[in-house]
Amino acid sequence: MRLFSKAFLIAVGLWAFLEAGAHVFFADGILGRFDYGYHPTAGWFEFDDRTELRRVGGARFRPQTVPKPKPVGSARVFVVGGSVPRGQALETAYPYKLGEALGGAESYNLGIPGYGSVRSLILMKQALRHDPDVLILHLHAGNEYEDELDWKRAEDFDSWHPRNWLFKSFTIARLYELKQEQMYWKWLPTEIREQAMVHDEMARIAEQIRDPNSPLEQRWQKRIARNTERAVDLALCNGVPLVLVLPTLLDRKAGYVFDDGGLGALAHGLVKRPGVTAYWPADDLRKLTPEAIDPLFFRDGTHMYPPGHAFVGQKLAPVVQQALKSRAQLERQHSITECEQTLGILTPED
Amino acid sequence: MSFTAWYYPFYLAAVVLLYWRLPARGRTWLLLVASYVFYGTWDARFLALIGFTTLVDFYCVGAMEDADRADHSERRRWFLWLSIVSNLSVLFFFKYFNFFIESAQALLATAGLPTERSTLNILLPVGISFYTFQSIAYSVDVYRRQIHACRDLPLFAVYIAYFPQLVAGPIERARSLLPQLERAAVFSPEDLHVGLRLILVGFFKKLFVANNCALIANYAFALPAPSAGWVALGALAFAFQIYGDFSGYTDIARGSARLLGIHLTDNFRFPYSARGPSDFWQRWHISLSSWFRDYLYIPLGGNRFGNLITLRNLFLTMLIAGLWHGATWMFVLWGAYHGALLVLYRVTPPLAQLEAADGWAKTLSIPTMFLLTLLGWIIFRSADADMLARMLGGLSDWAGTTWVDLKGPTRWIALHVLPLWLLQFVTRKAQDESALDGVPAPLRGLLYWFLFMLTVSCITIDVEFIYFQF
Repeated sequence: MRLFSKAFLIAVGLWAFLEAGAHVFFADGILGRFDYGYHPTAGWFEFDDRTELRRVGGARFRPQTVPKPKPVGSARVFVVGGSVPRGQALETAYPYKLGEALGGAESYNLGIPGYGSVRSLILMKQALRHDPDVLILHLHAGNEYEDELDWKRAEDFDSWHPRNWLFKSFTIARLYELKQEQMYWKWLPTEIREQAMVHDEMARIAEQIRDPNSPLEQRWQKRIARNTERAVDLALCNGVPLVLVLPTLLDRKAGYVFDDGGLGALAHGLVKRPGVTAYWPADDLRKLTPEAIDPLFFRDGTHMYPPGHAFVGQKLAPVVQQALKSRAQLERQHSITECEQTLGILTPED
Repeated sequence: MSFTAWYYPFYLAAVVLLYWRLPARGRTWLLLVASYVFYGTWDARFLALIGFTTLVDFYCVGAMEDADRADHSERRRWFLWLSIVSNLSVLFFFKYFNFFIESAQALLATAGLPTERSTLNILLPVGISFYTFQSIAYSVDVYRRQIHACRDLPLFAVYIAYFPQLVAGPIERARSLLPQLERAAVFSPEDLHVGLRLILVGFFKKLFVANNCALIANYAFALPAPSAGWVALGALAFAFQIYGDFSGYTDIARGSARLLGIHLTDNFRFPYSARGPSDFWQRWHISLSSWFRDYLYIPLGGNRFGNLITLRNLFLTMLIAGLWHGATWMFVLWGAYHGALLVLYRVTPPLAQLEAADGWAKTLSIPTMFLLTLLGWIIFRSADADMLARMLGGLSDWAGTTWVDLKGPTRWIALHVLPLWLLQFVTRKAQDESALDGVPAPLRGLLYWFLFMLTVSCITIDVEFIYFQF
């Protein structure tokens, strides 16, 4: 009898065949497939004349192309954030509407679901390498948990720990991702997912996330504050104005009350610095009647329908116009690389 | 060290490679060291306990056989009891001491008598129920003159602590395992093939089937007011969780042992195809049920003293088998439930005929027994009487949940059980439910690949083996 059975060799051969097939026939789809959000260039595919915004691990940018170099006379704006600026489609989300309201300025939507303060900072680093005139950072207090989860995913796929050796196979990693990121999330109720998180660390986080006074929640609040300050430092170091867009949390039961997730005080402190402005969508939304807001504006307490996005895009435009004008007064303080070096490598501990 | 630890495959590979390069004596020492390291990674303090059990049984049984040769029957019996009592004392102290104290206190409190808190903070050593039972079986077999006493201490220590089956069985008999450990086995590619296949099937059952079904089962059993739909889903999910978990462990244990040229007992044989309770216990945890048959049911009289005594023996055996699983009244109740089922099937002729019938009758007998088994699992999985009452009470609430709520979890269970069903459909005619020898090589290769991919898709869901707590 041979050392390896025929069936064993068939199984190994099948695996090797599929692995090779994926690399040969789907090379484009494999590229960057497991570059989760902590990869410094995740989702940014550089070419000589353009940068394409594609996939970030299991999530995706809205597909967009950033020309290189920037066309002469064009104003370029990047909107960095989570699922709120991302919207339901590129053309209906507020970054696009903002571009229209600015008279055809280049306005790029860098919204990716679940992006918290750390990964937003990583996106900002890349955006600053693409010659922006204004950066918009859409703040959100509820995505720090997702940032930590993504760090774990990134560790799973990137680490050379023997525990993760199997993930070096594309077919295995893809199947694993499909199972954990898609079926797991689509078929199981939230309570089951929270009870049985994939990682022990995640289970611990899920337990604390329900308590707003938990040490973890407080740590996250501090992290958002620190990273927002770093975002301001980074933008100003590069001589680029920064607009902070505050979250708009709608509480219908309390009588259409809007809240900024406790980030208002932070923004008030930061706008004292030259080149930094903030926009509170709630200020404009409060002027509307509940009948005007519902059912057209909000999908839930945070995310908006296209009319809500169009409204925010319109109202944000004058603020961005002001920021564009202020750019001339700002000076680059250091080179891009030197500015980035102050941040170092970002992890959830930042 | 658990089989699901990332380093276990490396550990096993190192032991296997070294094992086949050593002479017979060296292999014994290697297995002893490997087994103690395997166990010591949980809690090295409990190695002393295994050492104690090993030494007591080695010397008691040796002395028992010497007494037999010298025709001292009284002395022989005395050493048997010394061995049994020492094993049961260890088991009682570590597993049942607090249970009996608390139960006695509760009883006194119910009677209105004063009680004092007097339990101890005792850690349960992993696998204690398994290795003490294995040791008792050895002593009794020597006493019955079915085997000779082992006179080689390192070899006997390996028999007690053999790492693939140390923490959750199968409970091996000395007449089967000791000769295999003693002989200088020759490496055979067949052992390698079968061993790897068993390990693959075992990991598939544990990581893909059991761990994923556990998500639903844990949720359903924790609901404060479960509806009938959730009770049914919870019971179904737990049925496949515990089966995948335990039979998966057994397959990995058998596969690991087979890589070392050692055949361990089969522990499961399509248990959910059982046609009745008696059939079920010939398919579920076979090494435990046969242990109870040989060392409790038959010594109690078995079926030799009339119908009534037989029924009593059956019920009592199952009651104690229930208690063996854990020191809670829920396990006792579960044992009583299975004992009652055995009695019921025996005293009700239509049920007895249904269990014995073949052919089309199986379409009725198998689902009936499966439903009864599910009911048993509800008792088994309930942490206390309150949880059991909640679950059983939920069975009457058919309006509490809609299909929309249950659709996702139902699909989840189906997704994780259907591949197992497919595997068992392929192996249904084999005596061993993991045997794929009759399947043509290309199809077998495809199955290996399929099982491997399904398993690695769940590789990081870390849920401990259920039977480790027993």
